[in-house]
Amino acid sequence: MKRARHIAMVIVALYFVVLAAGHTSFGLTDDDDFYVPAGVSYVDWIGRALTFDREAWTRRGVDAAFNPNHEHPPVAKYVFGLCRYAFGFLGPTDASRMGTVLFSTLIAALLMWLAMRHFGRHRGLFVGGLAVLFLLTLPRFHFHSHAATLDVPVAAMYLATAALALAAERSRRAAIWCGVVFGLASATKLNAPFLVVPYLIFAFAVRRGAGRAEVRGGESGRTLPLPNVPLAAVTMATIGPLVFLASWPWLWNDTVKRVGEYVQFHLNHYGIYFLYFGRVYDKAPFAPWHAMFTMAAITVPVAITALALVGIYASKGPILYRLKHPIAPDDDDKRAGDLLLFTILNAVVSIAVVAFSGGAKYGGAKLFMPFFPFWCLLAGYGGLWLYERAEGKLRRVAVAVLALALISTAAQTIRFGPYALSQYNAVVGGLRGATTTGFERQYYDIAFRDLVDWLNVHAPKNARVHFLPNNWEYVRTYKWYRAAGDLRKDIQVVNTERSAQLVIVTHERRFLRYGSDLMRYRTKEVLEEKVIDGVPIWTVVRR
Amino acid sequence: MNRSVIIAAAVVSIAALADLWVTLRPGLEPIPADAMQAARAKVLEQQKPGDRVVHSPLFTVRELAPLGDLRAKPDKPPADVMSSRRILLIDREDAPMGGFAAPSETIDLPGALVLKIFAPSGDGTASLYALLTQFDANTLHIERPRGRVASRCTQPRAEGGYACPGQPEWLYVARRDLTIDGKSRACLWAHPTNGGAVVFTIPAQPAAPPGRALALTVGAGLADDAVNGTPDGAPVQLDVEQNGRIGEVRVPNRVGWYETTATIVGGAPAQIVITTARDGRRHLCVDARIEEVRVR
Repeated sequence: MKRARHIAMVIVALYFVVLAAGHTSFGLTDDDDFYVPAGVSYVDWIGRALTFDREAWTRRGVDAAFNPNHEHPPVAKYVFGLCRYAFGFLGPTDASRMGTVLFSTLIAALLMWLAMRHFGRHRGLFVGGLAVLFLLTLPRFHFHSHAATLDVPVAAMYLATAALALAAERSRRAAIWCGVVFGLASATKLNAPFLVVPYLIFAFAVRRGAGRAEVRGGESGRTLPLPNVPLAAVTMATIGPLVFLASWPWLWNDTVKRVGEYVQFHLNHYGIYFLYFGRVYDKAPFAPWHAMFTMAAITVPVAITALALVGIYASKGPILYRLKHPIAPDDDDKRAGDLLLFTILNAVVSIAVVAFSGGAKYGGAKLFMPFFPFWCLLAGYGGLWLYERAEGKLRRVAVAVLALALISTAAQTIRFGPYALSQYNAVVGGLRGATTTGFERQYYDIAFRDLVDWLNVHAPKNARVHFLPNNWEYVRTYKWYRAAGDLRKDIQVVNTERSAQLVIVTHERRFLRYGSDLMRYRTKEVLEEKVIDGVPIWTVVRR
Repeated sequence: MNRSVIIAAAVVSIAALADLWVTLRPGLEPIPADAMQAARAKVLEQQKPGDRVVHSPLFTVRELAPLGDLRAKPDKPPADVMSSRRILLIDREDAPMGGFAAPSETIDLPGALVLKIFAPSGDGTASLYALLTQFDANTLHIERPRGRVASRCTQPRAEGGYACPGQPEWLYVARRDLTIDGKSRACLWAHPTNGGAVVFTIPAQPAAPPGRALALTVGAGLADDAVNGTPDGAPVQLDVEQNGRIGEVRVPNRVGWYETTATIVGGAPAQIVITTARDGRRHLCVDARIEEVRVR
């Protein structure tokens, strides 16, 4: 067991090292500028509060510290703020963004833990190891693991809660911690509370027909059956909200009003442009329900999806066994059935919540990050099934197939690198096919580092740069590059196109003006153009 | 059992190899300038009034240069436009643009280019322009007095939209949600000003094909609280102009939304000129759209 644990730790460490090694190559997104300063503000407040600065504990002190980005809960931002100090040598944003790397690594550790706990040490190592490697090489998840945004953190906290909820089937202590972590997950992003849906379905399914508590009536002898409520459900409903409130000082004042505002903000989230099959969606009615499933189908490497489908097929036996034997001994079969059932439920719900919510849909795969760890776990199980069922010489073939699957996903991550949000799989014909079919070639207004490097070398002295079609986002991100010394001090991103010497067209079709911008600049001198898979991503032109 | 393993292994292998192929394949051959010039010439030869010209989104800026001033964009036109207009698509033969029905005509061009012509799929109304979503830094200017440009509203505002340098801060263009006639309405802020005019410019649209016309609908209303709180509020006048006045909307100091529709010609911009005698609490909101309709 010890050796298996060591190998698991090495795999998780490898995951962290690979993420950390490539960390500074990933460009800032338009969200980093919201979350990084907010995180610093929150952590500064914690520092003042813990040193008993009286002003910190006043309403004014709390509100001033937590006003930045108060529409989103704070847990991930605490980590960004702490990392700003812990990894300060990386510069102001990259240090904070290490927080997301840590959250992502937590996912890797949880996947290993879940797999080894439920499949046994050798089989678990196999499943968990494959799942972690798939997650590491999943291009879009890899990108999001570097951005100071809430999506990978909530995926981590969601998985942590799910893992504890599952552990709570066998441990009271895990049930208590489940409530605490559920509260923290809910205080990370709004996806987390939806974990209740798959959890209750799971709890009902595995308890169906099992012994239930009952209260025996006095003289009549009649019994009143009580529902067999899992302890984790109780702690999630009681400890969870308390932790949620305790961890978010913004809600300490005007609690009812501010909780209402928080819920309303997300129920009526403003539209964000989303290009889907050539049509731009920006307001209600938002993109159709199938948009999120389609995005998953065309961005997750096909080999991972194929293996995950094999995993679902292979789960049939263990799940049916589990459902048919609710009070069977707690053996490997029962544990495997638990994990597989819960994984499938969570994979479906974590994406269905976004698909059917009626809210704004945008940002490629960003909104359903909690889906990916579960999907990779199923792919890992599919890999195990393939390996175990292959007999004789076929076993070598199975190993070769799994290696090929890993190579093909890794190739996509390496090929696209910091441009991972431009990656599409073979289902839609790659990036080229996706662009001609009417999908966005990039999103998140990424301030690509190679463009910054190009500007540093080639831009004239005191260059004034303007981005089209969405300059305002780059005004926000480029200021960080300048502050970190990554961008030459004399280069300015200017608000008006007319005052710019260089215009950078970012080829984002979801902006209605893009076509007109392209038309206006098509005859200007092109200084540099980034083209991937025959698709222009950005172009620098002289004005 | 080995059979299902073989099938699963084959499916995973094919999936992995397909992904490897699209990941590692070489980029597209650049389109030579003379091929693009030939495409431009062919489009000009084929183009009729009202046609929409679309080009592949894969063309780089360098490749697009020979198109010069040809009005062509990489956007797939909305269904209502495709139903009413001919579409001319300059496409790559080796990576065709999706989302179109079968072309009615295909013309081979030099290089990897092809010109596809799509006949209109119907004859319904087509939305060509919506002020609310398509306004930009060129949309609004202030004239003071009328006829003399005092400010062009090009300065981005932190809250969205554009401010008018040198003018009061309440003169700007931005999307707002105002309560008008008891209902929340999304529209553009258009506060009139004393001694001048607030002028919205709507860009020129391609001419309508034979049998069809361009209809510009302009609507406006005062916020309910501006009406209810200002019993002596002045009416606001909106003149719709294109080579002279072609319509008007008079917004009285009453709750409600007021609209007019005027026929415009293609190839020339239109303007909405907003004036009032007294600008006190004239919280006006406007919207406009251009539709291509069948001539009865």
